[in-house]
Amino acid sequence: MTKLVKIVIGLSLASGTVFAQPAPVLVAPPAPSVAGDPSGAPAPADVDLSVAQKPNLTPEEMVAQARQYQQGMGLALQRIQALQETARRQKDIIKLNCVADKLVQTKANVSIADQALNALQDNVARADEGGRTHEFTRLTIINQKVQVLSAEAENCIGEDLSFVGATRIDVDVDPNIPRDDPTQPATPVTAIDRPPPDRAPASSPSV
Amino acid sequence: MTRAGAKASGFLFALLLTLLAAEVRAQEAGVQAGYVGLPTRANPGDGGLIIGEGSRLHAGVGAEVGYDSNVFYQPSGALSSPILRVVPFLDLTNQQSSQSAQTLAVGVSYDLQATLQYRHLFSDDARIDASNIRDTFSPSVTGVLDFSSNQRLGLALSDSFSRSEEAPYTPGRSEIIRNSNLAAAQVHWAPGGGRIQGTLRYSNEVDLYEGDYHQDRNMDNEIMLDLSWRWFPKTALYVNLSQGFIRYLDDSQSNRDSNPLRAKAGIRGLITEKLSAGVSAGYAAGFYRDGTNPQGFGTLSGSADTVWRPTFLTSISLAYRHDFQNSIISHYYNVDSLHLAVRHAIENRVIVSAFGHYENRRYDSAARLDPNMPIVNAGPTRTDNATGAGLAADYYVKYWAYAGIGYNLVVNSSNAAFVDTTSGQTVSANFVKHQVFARVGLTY
Repeated sequence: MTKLVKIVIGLSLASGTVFAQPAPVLVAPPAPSVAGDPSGAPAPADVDLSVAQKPNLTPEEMVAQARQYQQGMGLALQRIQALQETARRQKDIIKLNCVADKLVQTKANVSIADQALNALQDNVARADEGGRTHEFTRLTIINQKVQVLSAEAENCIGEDLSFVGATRIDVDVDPNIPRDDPTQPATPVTAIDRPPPDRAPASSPSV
Repeated sequence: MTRAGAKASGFLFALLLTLLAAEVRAQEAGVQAGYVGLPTRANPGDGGLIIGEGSRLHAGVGAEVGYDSNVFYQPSGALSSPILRVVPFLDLTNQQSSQSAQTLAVGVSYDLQATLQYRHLFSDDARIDASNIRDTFSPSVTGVLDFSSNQRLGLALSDSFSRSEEAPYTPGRSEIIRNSNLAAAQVHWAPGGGRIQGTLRYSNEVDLYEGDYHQDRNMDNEIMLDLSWRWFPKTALYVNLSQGFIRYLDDSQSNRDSNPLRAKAGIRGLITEKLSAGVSAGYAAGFYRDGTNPQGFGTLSGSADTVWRPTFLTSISLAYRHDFQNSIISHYYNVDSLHLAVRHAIENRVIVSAFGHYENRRYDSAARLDPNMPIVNAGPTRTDNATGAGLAADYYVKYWAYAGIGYNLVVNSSNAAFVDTTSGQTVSANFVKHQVFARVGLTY
């Protein structure tokens, strides 16, 4: 992967974070005591800096946020499909393959997100706090993945910024080279030649 | 360079290549016409009357006035005469270039050409009238039809007819009339990328003589297979097989029927962008009906030729050939021939050409015997050394009009001798002939 693409993806991840709905700040729960530890002191916590594990949203806010995630992912899917059509019109197989790959992944993630939303709603109805937290976390991660895929799909089409053009082959033939094909067998030619002399000249009538 | 100057340069170069191509083809056949004659082909590219899409009708006429030092090819006491020769021609074609079958129409190219040579001898000598050669007409018609020449599978048909009326070797006897027709059908196959090519050709040639050589009328059917591998885009290694069937139409000459076979391999094509060459070697056999056959070194068939174009407007060709050739005065003769031709264009106005040709012909011992015309060979077998040379210079006033001069030399040196039944003297088959011409012509 080129350095430029890496930078773009990194920026995309950051922008995804900027342009997406602000993720809720989750507080990591205290690490459980290690069994057999005579001191009973809590073990040092592994802090997850990317996504917190426990949202502090109400169930209704979770569902509303999840629906916004779903709407955003739908728009991202439409955008990627539009980019695919653009690549198809350009008849650029490289772009088309790139966008198609992102589209497939996005569709899969959107499908998983739909299942997660349904499960979230069920868990809210059953007042299952653990379940709804789990599903909401899944939706948050999937949403970020879809935003990254959308940015990558944009990059697929935006490659022409550094793309110099289709390969063109120019053939310069030395004008000194004969145009005919000397590898062909010669055509038959009638020998325009008189028969050799084979008779005495004195056979002629005297004049 | 002005547009007219560029046009003239392109025309002169194209004409130069046309003449050179004809020269090379003549070498391949092993026979040299011996005279740098009047142009009988149109200028490629511009010019001509547009008949249809991609088709052009070219026309032209040339006239020569000169002197012939030995009208009857006599060893001594030669009869000379001023001479006039006029050659009009018509050429209907859709080919872009006279060298290649580049088509304008999709997949089909054709070239139809007709010429008529009229010759008049001004001498008052009665033997000229007795031999009926004072005014002679020699027409020729050639047609080529090429289907899909640049495709994977191509078909080409061609036919060439010519009639010639030549002075006899004996003043006062009837002229030597020869009617010749050569027809050929060829299939060319180049699958895939065209690296491997195959050509299968059938040709039929009929030679009909009138007068003293009428019993030498013959027909030659030949099948040729040529397989080549394009080592480079314009250089190929090849193998060539040909089987002929020569049949004399006069039953009295059927003992000279033969089935010549040739198998050779070689290389042909460009060595550099300015140098092309061809080398081949192989086996040749005659298989004459009466058991006569070339022997020893005579069964070797070989050739070597090269064309060098040091500049855009200069070409030099050199060719050597060793083979055997069917003969109408015997069964065959073994031949070693050498040919040199030089052509150069000067200042886009003048084309100068010169050639030299030498053949050593060694006839087999079973030469045809005519009881009415005793022949006495000075040696065990007849050997002729035929030499030809020529020089021509043409100045193109316009690209469609030219004027020039020409010189031609024909020499035969033979160890054969004939008995003069009247005087009892022995006469040789040697002769020397000089021809000089001044000529003008138009081509469109």
